[in-house]
Amino acid sequence: MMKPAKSKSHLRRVEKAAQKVSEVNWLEILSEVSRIANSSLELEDRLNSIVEIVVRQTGADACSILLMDEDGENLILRATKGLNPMSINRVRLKIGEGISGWVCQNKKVAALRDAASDSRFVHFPVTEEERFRSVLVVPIMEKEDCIGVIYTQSITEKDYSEDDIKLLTTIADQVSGIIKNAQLYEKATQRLRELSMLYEMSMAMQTTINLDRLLRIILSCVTAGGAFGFNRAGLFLVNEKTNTLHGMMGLGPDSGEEAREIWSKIPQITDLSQWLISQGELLAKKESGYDRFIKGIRLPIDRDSGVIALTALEVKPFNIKDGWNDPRVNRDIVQNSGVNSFAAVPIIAKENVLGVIVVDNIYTGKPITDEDLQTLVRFAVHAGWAIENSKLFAKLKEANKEIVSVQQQVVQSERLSALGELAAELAHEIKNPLVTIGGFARRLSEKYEPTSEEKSYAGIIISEVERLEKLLKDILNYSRDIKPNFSENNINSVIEEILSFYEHTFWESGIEIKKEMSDAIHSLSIDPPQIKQVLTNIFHNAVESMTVKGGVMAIKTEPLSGEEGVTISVSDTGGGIPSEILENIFNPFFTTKKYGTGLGLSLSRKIVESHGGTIEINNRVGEGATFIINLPRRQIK
Amino acid sequence: MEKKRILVVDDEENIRILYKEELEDEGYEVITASGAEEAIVKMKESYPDLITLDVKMPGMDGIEFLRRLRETDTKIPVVMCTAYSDYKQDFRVWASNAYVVKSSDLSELRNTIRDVLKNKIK
Repeated sequence: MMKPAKSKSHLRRVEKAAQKVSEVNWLEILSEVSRIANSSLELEDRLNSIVEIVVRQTGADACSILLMDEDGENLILRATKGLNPMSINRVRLKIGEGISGWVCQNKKVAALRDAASDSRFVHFPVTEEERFRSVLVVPIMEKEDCIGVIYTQSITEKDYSEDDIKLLTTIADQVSGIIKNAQLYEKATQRLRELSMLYEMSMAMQTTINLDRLLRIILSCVTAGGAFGFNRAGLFLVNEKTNTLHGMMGLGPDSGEEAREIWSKIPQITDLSQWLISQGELLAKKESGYDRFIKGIRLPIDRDSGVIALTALEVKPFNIKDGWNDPRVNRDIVQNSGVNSFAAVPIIAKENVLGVIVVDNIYTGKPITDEDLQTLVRFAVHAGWAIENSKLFAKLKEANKEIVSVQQQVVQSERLSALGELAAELAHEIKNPLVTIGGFARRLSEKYEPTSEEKSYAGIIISEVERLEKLLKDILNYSRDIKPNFSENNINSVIEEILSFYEHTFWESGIEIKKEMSDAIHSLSIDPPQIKQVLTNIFHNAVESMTVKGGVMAIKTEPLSGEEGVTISVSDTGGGIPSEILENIFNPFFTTKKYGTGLGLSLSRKIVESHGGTIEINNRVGEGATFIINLPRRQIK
Repeated sequence: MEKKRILVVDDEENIRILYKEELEDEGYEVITASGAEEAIVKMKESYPDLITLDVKMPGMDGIEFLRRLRETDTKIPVVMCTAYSDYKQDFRVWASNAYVVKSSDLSELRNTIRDVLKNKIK
């Protein structure tokens, strides 16, 4: 600290100033400061009021408050009376830098008669402080730490008295209290914001039970600027059958530029849920490299598959700060994701791990704090319930669909059996006489000479009876008639419709769907419910063949060769059809299933044939089967 | 070697005549019954080596007759004959040794009877 010069005239001025302060009664100043300190004003307003009181009541020409930033590295000018208001937030001093920095570092008062000549002095032109001569700077202490300084300046040269220092120090204590309160308040507000954010997100998630849409909303929550604001988020779901994590969806811009564009539309918390819902819609149509990256990931849930698998295995969050050097992190994933820091939290419902959410800040590089992680964990619980609901609903829908379909089958088979009974009755009545006619004709035929006329007559009877017997057999086998109800439809959309309906089944059975739909297919005259029945049946068989180990079902449409129409191929990897049963699979009542009617494929063939088409099978024993349906454009009369 | 005795059970008289003549030509001794009740009486008179049994008959049908027969006699071979193949699905005919769909061409019936008697089909 610089020693002030002590001339006689100067001493007089000092006495005068001290006189001035004591005249206005310390108590009054302090009570005014404490009233401000305890008011409900915002922090900035309270700081402004205090610097004003200091200037008004202590005879200082300027008063400023500098506070430490969050990282504890810089002092920042937060309020001033007397300096150019433009200086607020612009004056920044490192600890130890300038007089304020020195005060903060040493936790000591600085009272300088001629500040500008002090070696520690750092001049900020923006403050327009050239006219000031003397300064008094006291630290604002919070327990053992200096959290800022109060800085008064005087135009005339001044020697500060013990009382001046004591007064400003007392005011600094009040300011310390204000800041502490403000921090507590900030924390409470943060918590409130978080709660209302979780509430909004929960509301948004409740708007849908469609799994795909729900996942999109969840990831929108995690990346939304007004919410968590992570740059990117990816979601994995557990496949219990294969005990693996499947990358389901990734949300995040592909470039920093795109990221800035999205974040400039940060919504207010009040319309967050609306925004999340609409954002979910919007993003549904958007493809991103990150999405493809996440979707391509399959991780066995074990100790060797990296930290994402560990998140599911140990049911706890991980905050990875340095992925490159962290042995828990899967090398490939760090390499391909392009980030070194990321976090993973488990999605839990009913004590089961349903999946994992992974987040990073690839563009802003903002560190993920443990508070962020805790909030994300709480959010993941909400997400878990929503996903569980969605899955339950899908199961319910499927069960319901199955009931309806079984019911239809029952109706169909009842009708069949009524027709069958009639046909059987008729067959019995006609067949017995035919057997005797034909039987005796054969006996006759044996008794005649091979060249006799009688022998040839008997031969005619025998062959005519055979013809009738065959006719009877055909009637019995095909006692049903299927008349399609044609309308113009695009087969691709019919297929998409069925696939989306069974999405959940495929996912649960660990079956990957590969689609190759030709755009060159025009609409066809088909009976949609009948064609759906055919395709559903074939999909169902494919799924059943792969239900133990999972697999791939590939659906392909292409223009029919030779004439207008479409060829639909459905391939599975379920090992193919054993050759001994292959020739029977299209026969009615043939089944290898415990609960099958054996009508599925024979009915399918009948339907396709009634559309003027054909159904074929390309069987690869040990690999899989491909059903090929050819549907011509031509109208069936 | 003694002739094997076959009991033909069918409600249609002409079928009985046809089967009897055809099977006698094959070298069997053939007795006939027009229904289940008569078959029971005939079996007591002379126990056959094999029975051909029509499924659909008035009164007690072939399936019921087979069921009762198997309660006391599990050994005697039975060949079920019927006009159509649907009964193949019916587990109750599994108690028979063979199943033949009636046809004016009797070769299947002849072959089946021969095979059953040779214990080829159990």
